[in-house]
Order: sequence, then structure tokens, then C-alpha cells
Amino acid sequence: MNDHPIQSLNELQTQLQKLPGIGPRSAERVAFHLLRESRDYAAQLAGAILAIKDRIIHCRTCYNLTEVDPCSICSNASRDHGEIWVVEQPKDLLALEATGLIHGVYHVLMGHIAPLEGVGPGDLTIDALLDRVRADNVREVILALNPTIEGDGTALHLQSLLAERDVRVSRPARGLAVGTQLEYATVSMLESAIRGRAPM
Amino acid sequence: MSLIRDQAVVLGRLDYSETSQVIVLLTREHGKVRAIAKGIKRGTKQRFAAAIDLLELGSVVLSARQDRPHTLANITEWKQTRSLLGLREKLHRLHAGQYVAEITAALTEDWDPHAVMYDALVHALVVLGDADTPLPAVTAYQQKLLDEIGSWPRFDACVLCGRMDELTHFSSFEGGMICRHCEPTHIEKREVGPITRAMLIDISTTNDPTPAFDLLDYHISHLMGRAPKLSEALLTKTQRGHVR
Ligand SMILES: [Zn+2]
Ligand SMILES: [Zn+2]
Repeated sequence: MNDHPIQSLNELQTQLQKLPGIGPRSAERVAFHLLRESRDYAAQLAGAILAIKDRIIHCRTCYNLTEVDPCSICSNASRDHGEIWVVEQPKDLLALEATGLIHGVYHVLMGHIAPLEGVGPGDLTIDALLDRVRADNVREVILALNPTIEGDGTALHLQSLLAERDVRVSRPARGLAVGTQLEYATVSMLESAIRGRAPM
Repeated sequence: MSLIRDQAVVLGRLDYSETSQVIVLLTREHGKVRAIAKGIKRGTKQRFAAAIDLLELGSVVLSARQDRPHTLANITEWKQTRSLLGLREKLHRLHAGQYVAEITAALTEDWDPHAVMYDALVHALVVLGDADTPLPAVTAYQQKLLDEIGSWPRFDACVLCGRMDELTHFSSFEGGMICRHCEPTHIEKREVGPITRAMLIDISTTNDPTPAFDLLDYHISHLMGRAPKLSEALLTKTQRGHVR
């Protein structure tokens, strides 16, 4: 694939091709682009890549990605620490946080239970969540997991564990996607929406 | 390339690239098919109203080369036809649903149609969606599946000598019961009590099919070459291998 006689160029293209969405052609284009750019820019790019590897860690409380531990959300005293939003991945946390509507804190499970893929409860940060619920006077846990078979299975597992604690367990509403048309909704979306209809 | 329209159940899915997934389907008329669903994770394509989830039921349009069965088909259309939200309400239902999907995917060949099995699978999922205990529906499906692939064991007589009494053991390798006299020469075997054997001769009369499920799961494990991953979730350790 990379048949340039110049070995360093080949190496860069091989590395670039490991990135998501980058095929041989894009890798070649990026490699030649970088070749034309200044050495300063190349150093900045390399430095930025190394920085995320060196500086970003998981918050030991909520497992969010952060450069300081605890993260800025966990250390924010004005947030409601009695309300924990449980998500699968840091990306899900970012999506919820971007709404500006969440005053509570988060807990990132780092995945979901997927029995067919051999992922069990022990592979997630469930114990840490239970410790938090026990220690932090938590009133409500909101299970904001993906509404897939695995996400729902994980939510049911957590619900059974939390049932023994004095804590309210809820999940976000499900059904029709706002801004779409009803006729394109799937049967599952419609059924969820019909069953979960709300007064207005 | 030919276009195929069929009904299908989603048995499995795995990430193929950033934006596409490989979906394992059991179709009614064409058997098990592996197909790529492009653009599914971003939801970029209108024709997929949403990502295709495990255990979903739908009508599918596939473009495929059946003359080259090892190449992946492409999903060009998917429309969910029936919602099975009940499955998602209880953990044991979800486990049972994943168990039947797992054994179906493991014990069927690509492009080998089994309409009876397909109907039985849909029936099992529908029943599970409302079930207080999952094992009756699961055991009934185990039976249908084994029957369809020609691996339903013989429970009425010794598979080695034909005698109909003193049937004390089951051998997956031999495909059925073996008697007290034939049993000592066999390594792969499992003790089976009269209650279990009676259940397997007539599953429809059984209220609690736990021992029947356990024995069929043992047989299925041998056919699969490994234990189904969901077995443990459906059966406690004390129930497993308990001779009745
Ligand atoms: Zn944190
Ligand atoms: Zn015999």
C-alpha cells in the first residue's frame, strides 16, 4: 500500500492509517500536507498528541476524563452531589453536560454489561458507584444508559443492586426523537412514547 | 448481486468500522445471514430510522451474492416490524432472549433456511416478553432448534443397544440415553433421573422444566464446542447437573 521509497514517509502513513476514518489515500494526503508544513507546526501537533496521553487521567470519583483528580465536576461544591447521572462512556457525559441542564454529578461505567461479548459487571466501575451511593448521601441515581439491549440490561442490573439502598432510581424518558417525524419512528419508539405519554 | 426481501431477527452485531456494523440475522426464508449495515452508528442514512438493536424483529432488504456465501451481504433496508419492549423490562427475559439468539447463531449455517426454526424463535421472543419465568419458553425453543438441525436426542431407548429400561445416563456424543449396561464404557456421559427423562419425552406437560433445560444445555454445549455464555445467567450452580 505505502510504496514510497522513503521509509519515514511510509512509517507516518502506516501510523495515520490506524486512525478512524483514514484510509491509504487520506493517509497519503495528510502525510504530504505535513511534509509541506513548518517544523514548528509538526512539533506542536506531536506535542498535543503526547499531552493527551501524558495528562489525561480518569477521575477517581466519577471516572470522567480529566487533567486534575478529582475532576472539575466532582470538585464543584455548587453542584448537587446527591444526584448521580450514570452513563456508559465519557462521550455520553459530555453530551449530557452540553445541555446545561444537569446540576448533579456523573458516574461513568466505562462500558456496559454485554454477556455475549464476555463483558461482565466486574469489568465496569459498578463497585465504585455503589461505594459512592453508600458514602455520599445520594438521593437519586439516574441511569442514563444507551437504550440498547446491553444498556437496558446494565440498567436492570444496577436497578437490582440499588433497590437495597435508600435511593431513588430513575431513567431518562424514551420514545419519539424531538425534531423528527412520527411516520419515520420505529415500532419500539412509538410503543415507548405511547406507554410513557405525559400530561401537558 | 441479487436483492432479497425477508423477515429477520437480529442475533448479533459487532462494530465493523467507525460507521458500520456487521449484523447477524436469522432470516425466515434464507437462514442465517451476515450483513453489513453502513452508516448505522451515526444514523446518517435516513433509511435506517435508528440503529439496529440485538433481538430486534424486522423486514429486511439485502443485496447479496448467494453463490459466494462467505462474502458479507449488505443491508439496504431495515424496518422494525414488531416491538418487543417487554423483553427489556426484566433482566431474566433479556438473558433468555440473548441465550436463544446465541445458540441459534452458533448452531446454524449461513444461507441454510429453517422457516420452522425462525417461527419458533419469534414465538419464543414474544412469549419471553411477557414471561414471569423464562425457562419454559427457552426449553421449548431448545427442542425446536435441535429438532430442526437434526440433533434432537433419543430419550425413549438406549441409543447403543435399544433397550427401553434401566436408562440411567445421557451421552451428547451418542445422541441420546444410554443404559446401565452400556454406560460404563463411555466417558462423555451424564447421569439423568426418570423425572428429567419423562420431561424430555413430553416437554409440553412440564411446569418447571429446569432439569430438561439443564440437560439440553449440556447437549447444546457439546454441539457448540463451548458452553453458551448465557447459561450461567439462566441456571444457578445448585440447579446445574442436579439429578432428578
Ligand atoms: Zn469526577
Ligand atoms: Zn444399552
